[in-house]
Amino acid sequence: MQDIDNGLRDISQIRSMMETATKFLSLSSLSGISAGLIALAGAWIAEEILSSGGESTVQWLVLLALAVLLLAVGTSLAFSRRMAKKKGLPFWNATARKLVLAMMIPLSAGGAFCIVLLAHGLYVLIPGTMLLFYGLALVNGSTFTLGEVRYLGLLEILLGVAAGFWIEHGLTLWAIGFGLLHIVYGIVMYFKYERETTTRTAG
Amino acid sequence: MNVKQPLEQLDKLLENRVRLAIMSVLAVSESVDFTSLKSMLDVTDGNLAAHVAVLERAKYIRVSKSFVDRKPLTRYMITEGGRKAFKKHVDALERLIRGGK
Repeated sequence: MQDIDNGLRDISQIRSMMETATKFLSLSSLSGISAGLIALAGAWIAEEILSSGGESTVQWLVLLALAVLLLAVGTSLAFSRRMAKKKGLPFWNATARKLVLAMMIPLSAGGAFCIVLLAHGLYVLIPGTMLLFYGLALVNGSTFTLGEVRYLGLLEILLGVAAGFWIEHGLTLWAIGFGLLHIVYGIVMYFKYERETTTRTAG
Repeated sequence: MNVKQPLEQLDKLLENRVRLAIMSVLAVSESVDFTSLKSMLDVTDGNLAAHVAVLERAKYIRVSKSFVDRKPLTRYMITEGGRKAFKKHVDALERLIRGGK
């Protein structure tokens, strides 16, 4: 019996070690929630800009998009870094590099394509395009992190296609994809992975 | 309950938890440097160095030393033999558990 207990313990250790070595596990639920809130605020400001309909609407929207991107990525990284520290896991390692690379390829393609759309004045297609390429980036990156990221990616892709059809609701669908979905994702992750550890460290 | 045979198949070298953890990490990575390995395993420098040396002597892992920004960088890779030994050990563990149920 002793041998079997040891065997089970060894197997579970092998499994957790392999996971630590191949998956970036420090994605914090707070990252999702903060990114979602920033996106919602961004969508609200975008709506205000659009309804005021000034001369340089497009320039303002591009500036806003860049600000939202920087803020969302910045806070997500900060929260994940904190989580890595708390868990005692390496933050920037080979797996994190693979994750970033896997996401950067679809994201750069999407970014470039958005510039193409901007250049041709096809503004209405931009929200859908952003959702589509972001979804592809998540699906691609999910191999190197929590499996749930894959489902988040698939949902973003669906929303992206929907935003392509219903261009009049582009901004709303964008707010759902980048805002609401991130917040829901963050809450789900919190209850699934973090609640126990938090209460344990608190108690 | 015939657990005798799988027990014999277990690798003595890999019955140690730290060495088993090192092999688990290397089995799924191209190569891993000393510092990353240390933080994943949560062990001390000396402890890790000793276990790595045992695995290297058994030719389960390969060590490559280089310099990055004039600092020495030691990377570890699993060998073919090491991979076979690791697989055999895990298979034996699995049989041991199944046989015990």
